[in-house]
Amino acid sequence: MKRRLVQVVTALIANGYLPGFLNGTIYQGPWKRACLPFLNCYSCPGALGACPVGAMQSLAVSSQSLSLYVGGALLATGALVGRLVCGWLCPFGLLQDLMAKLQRCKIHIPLAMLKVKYVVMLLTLLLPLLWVNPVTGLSAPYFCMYICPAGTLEAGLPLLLLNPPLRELAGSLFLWKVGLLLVILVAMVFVWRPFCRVLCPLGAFYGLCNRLSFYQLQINQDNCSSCGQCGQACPAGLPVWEEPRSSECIRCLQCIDTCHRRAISWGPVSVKTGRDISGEARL
Amino acid sequence: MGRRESGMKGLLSRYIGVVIAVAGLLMFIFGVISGETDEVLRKAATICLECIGLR
Repeated sequence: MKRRLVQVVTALIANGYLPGFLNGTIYQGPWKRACLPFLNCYSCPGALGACPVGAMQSLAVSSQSLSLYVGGALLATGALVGRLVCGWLCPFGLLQDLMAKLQRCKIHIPLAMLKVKYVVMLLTLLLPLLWVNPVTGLSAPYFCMYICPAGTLEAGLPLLLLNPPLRELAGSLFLWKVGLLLVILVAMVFVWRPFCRVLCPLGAFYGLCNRLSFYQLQINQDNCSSCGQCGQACPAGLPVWEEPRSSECIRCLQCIDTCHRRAISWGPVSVKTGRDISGEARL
Repeated sequence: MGRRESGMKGLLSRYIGVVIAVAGLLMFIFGVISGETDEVLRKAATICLECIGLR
């Protein structure tokens, strides 16, 4: 409940520019310099900050180098809390959580598909630097252009609804993006957080950070009876007691409330001579 | 000796997240100083036609 509240408040603050929704414009003030740590399209009429993926890609296109500002912000956030951002802050994650409530029984995602997001992450970073359209001679923010469903939902659809001149520009690319958005929306009902787990480049990045972040889920082996209750409560179906640092864990922290033996905690990594409380070697 | 090594490893394991976070913070500050925020503002303050699927 606390998590849901944080998710809703974050989504409202990140998209709190109301005149944009009334006029079909976007916020152009100084806050747009601020790079948010989660996926939130900066062309959304309400967006007050900049999407890190959009900013990283756009800067890569214009300067042909990776942005230290955006990369640094993501690295600092990921190194502190890992995928907590996905579980507690991301508005698109909130949407996926809400859609998941429509159907209790979920389809299992094959392990290989969970690796796709790492390929997407690499292509998101590198393609704008490496691949130039031979016809136009220009690069493009390819992830935003061909995949990002948050951009279509938060920016594309509202802006086209509110701006008749923009509607005339909609062509096959827009249809592709709307089609992909629909597929992902339907998938959200039957698969838990499909976009986060299969396609999101930020989810991939923060997932890698999960293993080394300063804040960690920790298992107290003295209290843990390996009953597996935390794994049953985990929406990702992870064996939390065995692998608290899994890159698939979005750190919703639901497992903490589930454990009646209070064996799971969330906090800074504790020093236990090379091993943490869970007994798992870190390096 | 082994105990000291494992102690060092423990410390490193504890602080590697902090070390990386500080490195990220330095990158962030360097990016701000070199004017990348202006570039982000310039991009983010105009409607991204690619993001909404119009180009």
